[in-house]
Amino acid sequence: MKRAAGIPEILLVDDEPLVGMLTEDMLTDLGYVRAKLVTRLADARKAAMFETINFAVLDVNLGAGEFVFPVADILAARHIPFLFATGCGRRDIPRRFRDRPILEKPFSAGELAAAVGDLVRRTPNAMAR
Amino acid sequence: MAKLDAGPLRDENSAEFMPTTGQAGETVQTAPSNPSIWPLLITKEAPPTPGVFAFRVSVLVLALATATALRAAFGALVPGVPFAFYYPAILAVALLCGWQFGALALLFALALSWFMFVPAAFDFAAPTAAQWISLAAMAGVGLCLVAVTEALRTALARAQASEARYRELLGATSGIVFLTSPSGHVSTPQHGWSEVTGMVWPEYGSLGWLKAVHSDDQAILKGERPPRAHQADLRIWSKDDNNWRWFHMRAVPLTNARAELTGWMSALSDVHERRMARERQEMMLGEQRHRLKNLITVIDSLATWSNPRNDPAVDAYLKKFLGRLRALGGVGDQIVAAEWKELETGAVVRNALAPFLEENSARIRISGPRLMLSEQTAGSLALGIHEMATNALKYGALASKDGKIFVEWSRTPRAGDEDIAFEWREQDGPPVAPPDREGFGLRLIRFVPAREKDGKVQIEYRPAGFYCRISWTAVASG
Repeated sequence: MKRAAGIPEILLVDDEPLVGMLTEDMLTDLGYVRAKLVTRLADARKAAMFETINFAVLDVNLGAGEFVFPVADILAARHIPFLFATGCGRRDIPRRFRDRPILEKPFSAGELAAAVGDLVRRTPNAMAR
Repeated sequence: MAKLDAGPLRDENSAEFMPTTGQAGETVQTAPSNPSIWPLLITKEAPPTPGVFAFRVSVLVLALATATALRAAFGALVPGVPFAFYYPAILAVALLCGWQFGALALLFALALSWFMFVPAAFDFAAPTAAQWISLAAMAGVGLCLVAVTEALRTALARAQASEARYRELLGATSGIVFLTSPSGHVSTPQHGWSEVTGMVWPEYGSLGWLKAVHSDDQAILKGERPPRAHQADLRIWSKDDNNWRWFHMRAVPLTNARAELTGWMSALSDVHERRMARERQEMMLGEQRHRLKNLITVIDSLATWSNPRNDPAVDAYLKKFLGRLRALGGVGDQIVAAEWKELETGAVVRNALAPFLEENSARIRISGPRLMLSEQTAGSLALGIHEMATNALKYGALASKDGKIFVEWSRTPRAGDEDIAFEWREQDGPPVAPPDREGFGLRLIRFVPAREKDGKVQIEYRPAGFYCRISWTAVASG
């Protein structure tokens, strides 16, 4: 598929498809129409490594004892901004990510908009919509 | 810092290993606690302690003196073997004191024979040819005796060391090692049994040990067991806890050369804490599921009660919402009922289709092998099926009189894994066309195998009707 220039690509990781789809819809309403929802850690790692991504929204606990942190490490190494969306709170997040923004689940469209806005502003790398 | 720490550690190690390396050349390492007398006699430590040395010299002197006395008293008993009395003496010395003393005994025996019994007696006179041959034969046979005895001693020492190591190993295992006859009878004290159960030998001899095994777990141990390795969890009375404790048993059949069962060797390890933790966890998980199930019921009633009456738009919305909620909640009910965290596909499909089967049971054909699904995939599948059935009722096979739906799934083994394919095929319904925009229902369907390996969803609007194939790879299970 040809990528439309200037439209930010977003990696969205959430092991619960229903919740992920809800976030996807919120992002679409905010104008970020190119969100890719991934539900499995293995796929998320692959996407983080090889896809063009402007920023990422990461669910922390992916079920079955898997956590999203390897994906976050890859994104950090690629200087791609990301935020954590979690229902578990801040204490489950390793220290190396302590300065990353965290969005507490469940969140409203407004909270997501504010968090994503901050993320884009803080990192000029992430393309504005 | 690291360097400072490593220094003394290395010194400690080398100091600890020093005596061992000093004796590396010796084949025999005896366990100090071993009650057998053999280690005292065959230990090859060099040099032997004064006590051992004195013992060996005494054996040498005693054996030679006895042989000489017997030869003097009885003469050459065996014709043609004039010095036969010395052979047992050399054998005894070589066996008890090692080959060095055996060789010494042979030399002394030769000298004594020559001096005392080769005419002229009490004189090292030059022997005749026949006497030469006698002495040479004695030297040859004596050397063979010493050599064979030494080989025997080495073999004994090896067996001894091997047994000592086996005992040390047994002592190092924390659990119980249990040896029984094929029928479960115990005839010797067993490692670890007294420590755990407080039973004293021979209290647990014969079948007495079964008293310390929980009555519910005795069935696995009683009666004929097929002679192959097996394992089981069982409860054993713990004297420290004054209660039952869970042990994991691994039993291996012991067989003789004719492959007949001669007994059972069982290793029992304490898994009590682990098992208790798992049970607590499962109980909590069950509790959570119950709460979730109740929560869904509460949401269902809240939604129903909050409905302002006679508003068709809200009615339609509520119907859609409750349909989906109940499809998901049905899986929750099944999970609570199921003992394991997996669900059978047939049950999931029938449960999700229950509202539709009432009126269309003859038009929906469900078939497929027994296939277990994870809780998550079962939930997604139930939702997906609900969406497809709802669509079929509105636009598809269930919207016409003759329409049929085939719901089929299959398992295909492939390189240790299994290819799972789930198909939904509609037939003889009104013509279908792809929607302009993919709605929520279709998106739900696309995420059914989201948590499975290689999950794929294929949706086709065929002339015969709507078709959907959901496939993924599963690790094969029984």
